[in-house]
Amino acid sequence: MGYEEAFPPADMKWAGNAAKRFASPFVDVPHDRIDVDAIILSHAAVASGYTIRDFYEKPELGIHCVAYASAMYDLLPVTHWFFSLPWVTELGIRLEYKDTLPPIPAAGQEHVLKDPSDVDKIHVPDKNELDKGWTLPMFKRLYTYVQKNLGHTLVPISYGFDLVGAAAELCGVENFIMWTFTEEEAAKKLVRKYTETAVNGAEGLADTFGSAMLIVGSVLGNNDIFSDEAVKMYSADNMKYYVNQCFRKGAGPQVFYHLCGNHETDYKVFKDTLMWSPFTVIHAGYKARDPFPSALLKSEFQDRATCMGSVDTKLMIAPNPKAVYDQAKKQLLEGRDSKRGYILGTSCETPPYTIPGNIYALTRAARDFGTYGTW
Amino acid sequence: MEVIMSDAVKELIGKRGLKVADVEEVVKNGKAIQKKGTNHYIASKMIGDVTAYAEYDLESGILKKKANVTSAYSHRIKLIKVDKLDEVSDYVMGSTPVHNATLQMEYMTVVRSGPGLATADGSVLMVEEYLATKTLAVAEGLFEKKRA
Repeated sequence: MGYEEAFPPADMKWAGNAAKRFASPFVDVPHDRIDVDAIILSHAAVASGYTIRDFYEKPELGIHCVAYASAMYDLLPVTHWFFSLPWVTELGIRLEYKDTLPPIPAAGQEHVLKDPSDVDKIHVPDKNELDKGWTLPMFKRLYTYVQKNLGHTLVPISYGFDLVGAAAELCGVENFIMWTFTEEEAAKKLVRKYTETAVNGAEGLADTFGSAMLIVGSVLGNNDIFSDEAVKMYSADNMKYYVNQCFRKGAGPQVFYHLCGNHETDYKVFKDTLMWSPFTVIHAGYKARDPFPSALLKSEFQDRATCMGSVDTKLMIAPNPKAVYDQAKKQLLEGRDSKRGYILGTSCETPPYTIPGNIYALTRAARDFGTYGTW
Repeated sequence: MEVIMSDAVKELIGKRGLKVADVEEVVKNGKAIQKKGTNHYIASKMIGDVTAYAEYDLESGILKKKANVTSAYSHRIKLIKVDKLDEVSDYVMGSTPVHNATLQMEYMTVVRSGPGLATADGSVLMVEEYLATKTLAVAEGLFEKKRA
């Protein structure tokens, strides 16, 4: 039995409306209300009766759960499935599945890089070599499944994801942070080599599906760890390189920039560093400990991209839908008139055990304060 | 200037929905930028609603220069103006540097940003072949699909 047999047929009436709504900010044709992207990952599996481990261990099941949950909660209709460490297995890290977490480096293994001089020995696999690895065949299999069973949601996505954080795993995050002070050139070269690997992965996916949306984030590169200058040098400059090179190799034009964590002051380095395309969304999680204000997101980025505001993910597991509703209302009122459109999101992935009533609070707020033509 | 092109290039021009005569017009009367230190040029010109490009190597002939066309491409998205100039690119227009840039682009009345090449005064706005044939081509299709 295929995973598709575990779900009812897609609600195409809902899908048609959701597709028009999703298109609104990109083509200046307002339809319905501002869309909501709660960045659902393993919560989709939990909400469908499966486990977090199922979500990651069985990607086709996981992405079908995302499609199903998107319709159930009336969310943005793009089927995404990802974890934070794509492409690292091809660079030597062994991942293991966990019951409550996405795949992480297996316990007990030594770091791939033991010394800064080891960075020069990293071989960047090309797309043909990646095709013989784990990550690229998995994503090809995943989107072939979507094409066959959920074709109306198909947007092949290649994940550069956290270029700094994933690279840092090769030597250990603590060592990497130390290298940024003592071995700057090695640290820069390490991130660039990971980035080049991710570019080749995007090329492989675009070759198969004709294009590939790009999702790339600045996660470890944030103000809790780094200065603005370091965020630019290690993260933003490589995000630009990633998108530029991916475009050259046929991936894009859709780009989702995810500024995860605290971007209290470093948000200023992204506008003039990143590469923008006609279909770009930028999302920022936090400013210090608070959700990144949509008013600031709008003033900084509305001339470059569609803005995606944030409701604190911590609220999503608290038994207080009114708090979610109120924060969503605040963000919507600040961001809804962004020049190139606005999407209501959560600061990062909504937690696996998110309370369904809290997701309803997001869409209620989007309906009440984000219906086009009412402001 | 004599414009020459191989059968393979003529076939490519046809596949990309352009006419040989249009490409000759671009070479002869378009705005051209030169790759630094080479005899390689990119010229562009609006032909109807389309911005057409020719890439060619400029060679000295006995009586007149010869432009050996190596590729041609086009896009329907209109390049409007410079949003932001980035670093200097590998191209010059005469002695004027050409920058990588974020450009404002318009398609089906929608204005968005995208990457391209520009002079500081904005008199030259172009995109390279990979952007026109990959990124912008898919973007045009997405605009049409999402507007439908």
